Amino acid sequence: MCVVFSCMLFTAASQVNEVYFGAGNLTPVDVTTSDDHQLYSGTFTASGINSVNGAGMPARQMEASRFLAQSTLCYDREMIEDVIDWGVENWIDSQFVIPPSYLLDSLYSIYDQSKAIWIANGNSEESYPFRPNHVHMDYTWWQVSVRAEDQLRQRVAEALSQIIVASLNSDLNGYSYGMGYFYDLLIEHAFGNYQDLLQEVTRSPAMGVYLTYVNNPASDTVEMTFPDENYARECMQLFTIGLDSLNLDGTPALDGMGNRIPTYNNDDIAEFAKIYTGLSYADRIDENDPYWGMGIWSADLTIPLMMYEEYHEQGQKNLLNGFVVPEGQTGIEDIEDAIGHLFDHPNVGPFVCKQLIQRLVKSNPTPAYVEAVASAFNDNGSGVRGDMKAVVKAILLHEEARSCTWVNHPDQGRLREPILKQTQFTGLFEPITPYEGKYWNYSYWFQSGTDMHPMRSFSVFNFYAPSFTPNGPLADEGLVAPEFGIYNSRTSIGYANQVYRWIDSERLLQSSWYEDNYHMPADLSILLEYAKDPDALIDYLDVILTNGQLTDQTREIIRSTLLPYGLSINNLVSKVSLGTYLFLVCPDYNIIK
Amino acid sequence: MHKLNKYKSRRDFLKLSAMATMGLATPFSSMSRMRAMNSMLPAPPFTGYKAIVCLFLHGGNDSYNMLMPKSGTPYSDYQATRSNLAIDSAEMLGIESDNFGLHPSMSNAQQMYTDNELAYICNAGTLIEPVTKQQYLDGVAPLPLGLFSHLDQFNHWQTALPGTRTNIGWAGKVADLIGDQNGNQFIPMNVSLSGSNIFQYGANSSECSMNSSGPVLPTNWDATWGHNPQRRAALDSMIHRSYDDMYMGTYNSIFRDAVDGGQDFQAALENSYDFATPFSGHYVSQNFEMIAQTISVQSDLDFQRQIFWVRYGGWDHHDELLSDHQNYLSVVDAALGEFNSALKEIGRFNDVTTFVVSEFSRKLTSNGNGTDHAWGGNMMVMGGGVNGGSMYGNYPSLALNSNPQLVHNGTLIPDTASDSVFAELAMWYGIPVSDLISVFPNLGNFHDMMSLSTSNPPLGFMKLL
Repeated sequence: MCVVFSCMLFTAASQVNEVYFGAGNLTPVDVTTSDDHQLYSGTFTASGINSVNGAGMPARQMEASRFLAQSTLCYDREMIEDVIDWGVENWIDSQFVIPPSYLLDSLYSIYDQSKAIWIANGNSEESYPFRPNHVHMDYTWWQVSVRAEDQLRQRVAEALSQIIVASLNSDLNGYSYGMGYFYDLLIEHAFGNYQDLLQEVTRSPAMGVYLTYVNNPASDTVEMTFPDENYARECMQLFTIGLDSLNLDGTPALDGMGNRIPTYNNDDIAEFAKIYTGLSYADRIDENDPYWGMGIWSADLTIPLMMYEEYHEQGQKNLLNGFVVPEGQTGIEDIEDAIGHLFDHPNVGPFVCKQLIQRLVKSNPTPAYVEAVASAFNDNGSGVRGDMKAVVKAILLHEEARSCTWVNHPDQGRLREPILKQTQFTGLFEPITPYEGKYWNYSYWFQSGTDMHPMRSFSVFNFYAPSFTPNGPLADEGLVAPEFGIYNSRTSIGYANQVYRWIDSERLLQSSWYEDNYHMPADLSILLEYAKDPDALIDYLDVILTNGQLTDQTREIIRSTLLPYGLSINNLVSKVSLGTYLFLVCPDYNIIK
Repeated sequence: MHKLNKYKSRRDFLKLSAMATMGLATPFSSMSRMRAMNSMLPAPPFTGYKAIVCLFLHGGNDSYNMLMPKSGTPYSDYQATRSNLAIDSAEMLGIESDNFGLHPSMSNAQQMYTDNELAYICNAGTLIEPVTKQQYLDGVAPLPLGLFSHLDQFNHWQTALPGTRTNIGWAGKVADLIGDQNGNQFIPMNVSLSGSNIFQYGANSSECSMNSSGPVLPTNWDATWGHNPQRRAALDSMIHRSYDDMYMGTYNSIFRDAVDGGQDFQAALENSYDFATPFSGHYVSQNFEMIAQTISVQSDLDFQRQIFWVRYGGWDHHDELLSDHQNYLSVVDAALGEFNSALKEIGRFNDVTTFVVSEFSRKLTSNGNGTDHAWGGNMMVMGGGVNGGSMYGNYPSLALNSNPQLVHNGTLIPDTASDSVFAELAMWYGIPVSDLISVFPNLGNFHDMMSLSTSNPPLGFMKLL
C-alpha cells in the first residue's frame, strides 16, 4: 500500500510525535489540539479529539479512488469507503454477485416516457421518431450503465465494446434496439465466458447488419457472386486472434528469420466467409413472416438471427491449422464449430487480455503482466477457458495495477478515455436536478468535442488502435498510447471546452431537443466548504481526481490562481469553478498512472 | 488584444531553441527535435505557395448525371440505360462541341471548363491494380476491400491503399514528407474544415481543425468578465511548462500547440482579405470562404504548402435521385464558382488546385427512383494549375450490352486509378517522383515508375513544366 502522508484538514498544535502511522502500521494515535482554532468559519475545525488511525488518511482514499478509476464507469464517496473497508478483492467479489443492469428494456421504457413528454408538451405523435433511435440509446446508457450498482460489470462491458465493436454510426442508426440487444450481450457475458459472448455476438442482428452478413448467401457460380468476407475478416482480425501469432505474454512470435507469423491469409478469409452465410432475421416486428433478403426496417433486431439453410454454403470448410468443418452439418453447427475453433486458438488469451489491460489499467503492460492474465484466460484454475471473472481479477489484482512501485514507473500510464472523464465527474458530483429522476444525457456535444462516445465508433476498428503511438518520447521509447489516437489539435481543446460546459455552462448532462435541451449542472456544493482554504480544496481534489499524483508544479499554478479569491459566496464559486476546471484539464489528471 | 505566438517563424524558433537549454518551454516532441536539427541545415527551397483542396462528396455522387453524352449514339445509350433518370439532352450544358453535357445545375463548371480552368477525369476509381471485366467476373483480380461499402471506399480514397484497412492517409504521408519545410511549425500543414479524417493523418502529422468561423480555441479565451482571465492565465501557464512524464508531456504538448497555433491563426485571420466575391450561406460555401481567407494570410502565417479537406455528406441517393442530386450539385457548383472568383481576387488562382471526388459513382440503371452503389465515376479538378477544358482518362460506353467496362447491370469498372490522379496532384504540389511510391504504394501497378516524370506525368491534367 502506498505510503503517503499528506497534510491534514485541521491545524494541530506543533508537537513532534515519534509513533509512526501509515506504512502498514495502523495503531491509532490520538491527536488533540491546544485550542479550538478555526482557519475559517465552517465545517472543519481543529477542536475535539480526532483519532488518526489510517482509515481517514488520504493515502487509502487515493488508492481506493485510483482503483475505482480502473474498475468502474463512475463512483462516489460511499464506494470509496466500501473499497477501503472491504479491500479490493472483496469489493470485486461483491460486484460479481450484483444482478446485471441491462439496457434494452429500459430503452423501450425511456422511449415511451420521452414520447409521452413530447406529446404532453403539445407536440404531435407523428413528429416523434417512429422507433427508439440514437438519442434514446444515449439516454439509456446514461440512465442505466452510468448509474448502475454493478459498476465493474458495466466498465468491463464498455471495455469489451471497444474490442467487439458495433456502432450506431452505421445502418443501425435509427434502430437502437438492435444496439441495445447487442450491448446487453457484452453486459451479460462481461462476467461470463468469452466463447459464449462470441457465439451470441455472431448471431446478433446488430453485428449482422454492422458487418454486412445479414442476407449473405452462399457462392453463386452462375452470377459470380461470393460470400461477403467482412465478418470473416474482422472476427479474426479484431475479435479473436489478430493479425500475427503471439506468445502467451503478448509479444509477437517470430519465425527463424525474425519475422512475424501471420495468423491467416486471404484464402482462410474466403473459407470462413462460407461459414457466415445463410443468416437473416428470425422475426419481424409486425405480424408478417420474415423472409430471406428482407430489409432492416421491420426486422426484429432483439432475437438471434436465424439460419436459412438453403442459402448456407454447403460442403466441407477448411479453417486454420488443418481444422475441418465437415460437410453435412447445419449452418448453425458450422458457425458454432468455427467460432469454437477461433476461441480455442492460443492467440485469443494474449490478444484479448492485453487490450483489456489497456482499457482498464495501463497502455503498456509488461509481458509478464499479459502472461499472467492470459494464463487466467486459458485456465481459470478449475480447467475452464475464457472465464471473464478470472480475467478481470487477474487484471485488477496484479501488482502492476496495484503496487506503488509500478505507479511511479516511467512506462506506467494511460491517457484516460474522454468518456470516462465525464462519467467519473458525474459520479463524484452527480446532478441533484435530474429531469424527474431522469439523467438523460444526449452525447452530441461531447462527441463533437472529443470524437468519442460509447456505441458511436466511426468504424469497426474502434476509436483508436491498440498499437497507436503518438509522435514524441513515447514513440522514441517504443511505447504505445492508444487513446492519443483521437487526441489532436481539435479534440484537446474540444475536451477542455466540454469541461467548461460541465462547470461554467452548468451542462454536465443535457437532454436533446425532445426535452427542450434540459440541462443538469454538476452538484459542486460539497466543494464550497473546501474552497474556503485553497489548499484544502486542492488536497481534496487530489484525492478523488488525481489520486495523489498532482505534481508540485501544477499544484502551484492552481494554488496561485485560487489564492487571491476571498470567502464571499461569489469568490468561493469562482474558486470551485477554476479549481475543478484546472484539475480536469491538467495533464496530471488526464494521465492516470 | 491577441498575443501573437512569439515563435512565428523558423527564424525565431532558432533563437528559442538556443534558450531551450535554460529550461524554458522545452520543445517536447521528436518532431520539435527534428526541427531543431533541421535548423542547422540550409532550409530546402520551397518556392512560392501551393495548396490542394479536397472536396469529398460523401455518399456516392451519381457522376454519370454530372457529366454525360449529349449527342449521337452515346447519348442514346445514356438515355436507354438510365431510363427514367436520364437528363434530356436539351437541358444539359454543352461542352466539347456539345458531344458532352454537364448537369443543368452546373453553369459555373461549364464556364470554367470553357475557360480552361476545370478538367474532368473520367471513369476513375479505387484500384489495387488494373482489372479487366473478364478478370473481375472470373474473380482472379485483387479488388479493393469492401468494394461497394461506403466506409471502406470512403477510406480507400483517403489512404490510397484499397487492399488494406489503415488509418494513415496520403495527405498525412505528404505532410510527413514535407510538412517540416513550412515556415510555420506550430500549425499543421493539413487543415480540416470537417473534423478528424484519415486523409490528413500521417505517422507524424495530423490535421489542424477549424470550422467556417476559424480555429477552435478554449471557450471564452478572450473574455474579460468573470473568472475567464484567471482561467486563461492559469491554463496558459500550465501548458507552457514542461513535464518529465512521457504521457503527460505528450498530452501537454499537443494541447499547447493547439492553443498557441490556434491563437496565431485567429490573429492572422483578423487581417484576412475582405473579399468582394459573395459566398453562399451553405456550409460548403462557408467552408470555402474560410479556406480562401486562410490562403489570403498564408504569408503572415508563414505557410508555403497547405492541404485542405472539406467533406460534404448526404450523397447516398438510393431514392429521389433527380430532385436531390440537382440540389447537391448546385451547392457544389456555387462553391466552386465562388472559390474560383475569390482566389483570383488575391492572385492565388494558379497556386490552388481543388479536386472533387466521391467514394464511388452509382449504378447506371435505375432502381425505381434512385441508384445503388457502383464504382468508377467522373471527378473534377479546378485551378490555374490545371490543363482545363479537357476530359482525361476514357469516357466509357454507357450501353448495357457489349460494354467492356460494365458489370452488375450498371457498375463501371474504372480504368483510371485514383492513385494516378493523386500522384499527379502530388507532383504538382512538389513531391519528387522518387518519393511517390512511398505515398502511393500501388502506383507502380499503373505506371512505369522509371519513366514517370514531370514531362511524362500519369495523366497530364496538371501544368507540371
